[in-house]
Amino acid sequence: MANPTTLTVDDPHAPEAPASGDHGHGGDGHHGELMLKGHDGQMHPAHLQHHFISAEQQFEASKLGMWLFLVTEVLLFGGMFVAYAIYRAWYPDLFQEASTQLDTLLGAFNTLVLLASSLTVAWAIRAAQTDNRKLLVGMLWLTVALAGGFMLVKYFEYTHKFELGIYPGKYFQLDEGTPTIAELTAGTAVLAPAAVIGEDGQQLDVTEGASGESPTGEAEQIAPGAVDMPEANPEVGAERSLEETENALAEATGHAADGEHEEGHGREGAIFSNPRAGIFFSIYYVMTGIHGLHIIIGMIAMGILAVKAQRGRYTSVYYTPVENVGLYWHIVDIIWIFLFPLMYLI
Amino acid sequence: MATLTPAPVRSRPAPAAPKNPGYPQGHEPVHNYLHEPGPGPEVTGFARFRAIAWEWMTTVDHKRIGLMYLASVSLAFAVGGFLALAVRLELFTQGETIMTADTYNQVFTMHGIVMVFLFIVPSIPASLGNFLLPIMIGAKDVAFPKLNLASFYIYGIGAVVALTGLAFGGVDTGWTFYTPYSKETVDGVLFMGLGVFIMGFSSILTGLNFIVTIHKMRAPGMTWNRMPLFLWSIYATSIVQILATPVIGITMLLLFLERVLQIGIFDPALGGDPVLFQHFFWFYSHPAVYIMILPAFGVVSELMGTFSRQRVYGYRAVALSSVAIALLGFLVWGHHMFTSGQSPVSSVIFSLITFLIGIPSGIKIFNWVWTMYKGSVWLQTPMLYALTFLFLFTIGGVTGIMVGALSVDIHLHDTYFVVAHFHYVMMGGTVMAMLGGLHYWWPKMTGKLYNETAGKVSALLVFLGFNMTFFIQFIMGSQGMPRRYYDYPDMPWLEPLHQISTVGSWVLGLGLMVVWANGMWSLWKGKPAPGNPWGGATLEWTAATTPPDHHNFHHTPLVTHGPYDYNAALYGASGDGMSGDGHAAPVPDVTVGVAQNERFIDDGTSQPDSLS
Ligand code: HEM
Ligand SMILES: [Cu+2]
Repeated sequence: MANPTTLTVDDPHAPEAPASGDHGHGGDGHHGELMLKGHDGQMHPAHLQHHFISAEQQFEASKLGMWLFLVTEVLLFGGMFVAYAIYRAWYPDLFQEASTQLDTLLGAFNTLVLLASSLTVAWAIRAAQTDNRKLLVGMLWLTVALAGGFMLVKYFEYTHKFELGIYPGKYFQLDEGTPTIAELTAGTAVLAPAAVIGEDGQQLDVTEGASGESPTGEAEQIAPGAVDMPEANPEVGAERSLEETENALAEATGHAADGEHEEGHGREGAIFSNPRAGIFFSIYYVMTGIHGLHIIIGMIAMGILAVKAQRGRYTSVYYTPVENVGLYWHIVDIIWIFLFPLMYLI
Repeated sequence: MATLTPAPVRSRPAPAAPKNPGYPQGHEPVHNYLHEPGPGPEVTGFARFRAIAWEWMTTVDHKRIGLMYLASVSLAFAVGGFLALAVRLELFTQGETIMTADTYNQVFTMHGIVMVFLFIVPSIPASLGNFLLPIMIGAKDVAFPKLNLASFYIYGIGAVVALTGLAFGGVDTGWTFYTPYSKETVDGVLFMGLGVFIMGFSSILTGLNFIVTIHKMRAPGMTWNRMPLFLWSIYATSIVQILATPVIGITMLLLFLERVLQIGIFDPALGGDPVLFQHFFWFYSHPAVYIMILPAFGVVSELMGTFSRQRVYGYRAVALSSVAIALLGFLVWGHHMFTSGQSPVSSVIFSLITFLIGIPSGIKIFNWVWTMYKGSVWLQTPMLYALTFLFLFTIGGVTGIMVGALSVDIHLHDTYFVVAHFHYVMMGGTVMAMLGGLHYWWPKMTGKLYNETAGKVSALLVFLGFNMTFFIQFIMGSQGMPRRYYDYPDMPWLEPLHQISTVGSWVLGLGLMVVWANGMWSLWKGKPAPGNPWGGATLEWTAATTPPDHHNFHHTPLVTHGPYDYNAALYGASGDGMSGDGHAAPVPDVTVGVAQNERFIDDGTSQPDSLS
């Protein structure tokens, strides 16, 4: 039955309005908090923004908003994980070889640091819930410190890489005499002529082409102008793929992907004569770089929270920002939990 | 049970003077969001102007933000429109007509970028959506008003950054920025890419704000099934904005790094893959076409209901098909890459899923038609645009299925057939719906009536001009006219067809000028609008004043019925208000908005003591 008109309820800020059930966030309502008189003449808590009906509604809205924001973060990184997955599928050996250049110990250390910071931030939220201001402030600063530690380690990792000439993409410093893909494509060079010796003692020449069978199909036959990827030139008949060449090369230099060499101490490893090495490090720098940016943003947010918490801004009645930044921090941690094994371990 | 009969259709004398005693203190017609809070009377002259300007620039009122978006996207539409006219003019004759080939590339690229990223993505959601969403659910504002204002400025900054690219050589890649060309060409790409990245945040934050608002801020009684269909479509749009936009963000960032740091992810010369760029790009940009069209569906649903005086047929089917389209839209991006070297298996699957999208779209079309069936269709300007939409979007949709068919697309890809198809969808669909919606809500937003005759003339011109411009392009495309070409030296027989298209673009442009002039005239000299000129039944018509108060409602409305119970809407018509005769528009009833708030009727389902 249609009711012919629109009924109204009392102004939402009136406590007895049916919609503003007083089971406000934090339990029994607004005790212990500053109450202000709104334009409606009713009293409500200072933190309640005027367009919300109740503190509970405000809290739920912020939290849902934060979760949605985190979804967008996941998708942002999702794009990069897809890029990682694709190039890993195409160049499995390259990725294995390249990952040995990363310092597993430092990575593991940083993982622990971040896990600890997740704990401290959760603790901070608990402290807010229990009105323990001192603990809240302490935990927030501790989280900032842990995040700072993470960035410091990252800084040393990066600078060490730069010293070794491990830059992303085109600027990756290949060993002397390694031809670029462009040269290989144009057929003006062959891969590391002196080094590449097959088991049968024959020199390999990538321009001879590929077996077309391997998953790196498009890479094997780098015909001039072949920008179309995978199935572009399946039928080139030849004995060895670039990938096999890479393997042979790795064996020849004694640095097969068995992780034997000491990590990160010098320019050692077949990766330095692999013309595609840059692609792994591009992905590494972009992903860890953007992740690091997120850490820095988190540190700033946490610092601001800590200062405000010091001034008593957050109580068990109102601590939404602490909770939301905590959520953000967890997602930043989780992303690292994926990055670490993908980059450093496998 | 309810004992009440629908309010009688009343005939009233012309509106009383503004100080109508029926208004509660502080809610007289001069007190509305356009004037409130406003500087005190003591502030005069330039200081007054400055105070008002500052108030608008720092406002967190969703209605004002909606209007500011409306102004911005209109400007973008005008700029994009001039570029379109230039493109059309160049094709008027064979060989060079008004610009060189290089300039041509820049002009059609800018047209595409401006139309897509500056105009159509924010168009309906950010302008009409911002204005209407909180009112339609009975809320005072969106969930995050400051974020809403931030979105607007982020959009502005993104637009400025993108246009800075013009000073750095511009862009000639087409709006799709395909690699590897976009990696090698002029530096304008850097700025455009960055601009798109920044504007993406604006889009994300708007969508986020809307989802939270719809979930958490609905007035008591406003259940999901009582939500106006416009909001269902905005909700579906917001889902797409949140899930798709981050991917264009990372794509543009990677393109940026590709150029600056040579990271090689999309560069075959460094081991990367340009087709990966296309995957990333279309993973956003196909869903983005639903960001563009879904809000239009919502507007049309409202128009169909109100102007047929009938409940929208199949409410739930229409509502849920929006969500279905939003989700299916994520699974079809590969139909843009049938000729890019994608594996045949994927192409077949993508083609198949593309067909599936026809189902929810068809559900909508049929339901709209059924809504009109046996209704009393009232052919006012908004409805004319809605009907134009129905006609043009159906053509756009059907040709979409054609180019979604793998075999057909191999032939038609990158021809004018595709150009015609997407203009039928974007211009014929979204822009028509937006024009219809603007006319429909114009009285609510501005408090002024536009000129109905001019409105009808504009609708006619736009309809004729549009079809003249774009229908012929289907023919040209099927005859082999390639897209993004500056000349057609081997196909002299196309010249007359191009000329018809170009002349059509002038007619279309003229029609749009009439719309613009009508709006300006209305602001300057238009009659004051009645509370509910169309007899709409959604909350913005039945529970808010015209124009709405600063806080939307004096009391939070308690919703007791669905959005399309037109007999429930107070409606001050005199005589045959539905005849379609411009002069017989319902007699203005300025007290409607307030009268609603003051009526408290016990329908037996609500507790009287909870009402004031
Ligand atoms: C005034 C009406 C319009 C006219 C006369 C017009 C005309 C054109 C023309 C001639 C092209 C170039 C086609 C080519 O050579 O490939 C084009 C491209 C395009 N138009 Fe429009 N257009 C109009 C409105 C719109 C609207 C409203 C939108 C979207 C909201 C839009 C979006 C696009 C896009 C995305 C492209 C592709 C640009 C590219 O290839 O990069 N157009 N338009
Ligand atoms: Cu598509």
